[in-house]
Amino acid sequence: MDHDPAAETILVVDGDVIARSVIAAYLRDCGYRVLEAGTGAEARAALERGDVAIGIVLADIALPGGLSGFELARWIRVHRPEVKVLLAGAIERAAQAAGDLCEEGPDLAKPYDARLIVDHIRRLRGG
Amino acid sequence: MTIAQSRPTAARRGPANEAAEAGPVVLLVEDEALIRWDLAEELRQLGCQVIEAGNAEEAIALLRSTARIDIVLTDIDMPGPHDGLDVAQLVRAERPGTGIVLTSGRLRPVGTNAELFDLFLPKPASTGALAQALRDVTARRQGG
Repeated sequence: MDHDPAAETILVVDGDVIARSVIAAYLRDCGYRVLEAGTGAEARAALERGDVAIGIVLADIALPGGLSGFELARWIRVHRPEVKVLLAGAIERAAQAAGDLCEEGPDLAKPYDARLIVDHIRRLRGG
Repeated sequence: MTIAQSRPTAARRGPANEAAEAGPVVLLVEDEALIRWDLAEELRQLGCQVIEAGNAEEAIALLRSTARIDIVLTDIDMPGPHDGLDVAQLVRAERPGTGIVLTSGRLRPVGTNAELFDLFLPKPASTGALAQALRDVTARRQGG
């Protein structure tokens, strides 16, 4: 995957606001523009916007509101086939995906640890 | 631990990021996603670091787990068991010193306890009005 964070908008979809907020902040810090959605319906609204080109969707599998991450991915394949979808079943996967996206950006050459993100989310949740 | 401290040390620090870190941390609470995204973008352009909540429940979860929040900008009317006034009440009770800006597309609610908020910002707000509101509420916070 070869992309420049400055040109990329990532849509983060997660019903867990703490996980969503931490991962979005991390992605913004490494240069991406990030849109946040708490439900599949909000994700679709973001994807249907004509003024923002979303390149990547990072979505939790279990979403509130009755539209699962899989159903969202299916909708995207039909209506926005150019959008890359990363599905995460747990925060470890989401953090790993976020880390990979940042590591592949042109400015981040040093290794990172996705566990830092996971630990942070867990601590914030009180777990 | 703040969100900032959670970033791996290798995270990129560009001029935009440094400016954002120097600006206020704003918790934005707005249930209409299109409005929320536009407002968040405006706030970031103004130099704020923005944390986004789509309803009062999310706002409350963030208020209880985020180390630094300088200003809460919240819509009053939101679906669900709690509204913006509940958020304001919690901020006053649990995070004194945090600035509160209430926003609404309707008229300023008559009879709302004036101590519950610092500023009322009618929707839709121009970027200039938003910037002024941030300056005013920051001045109020610093004035004690």
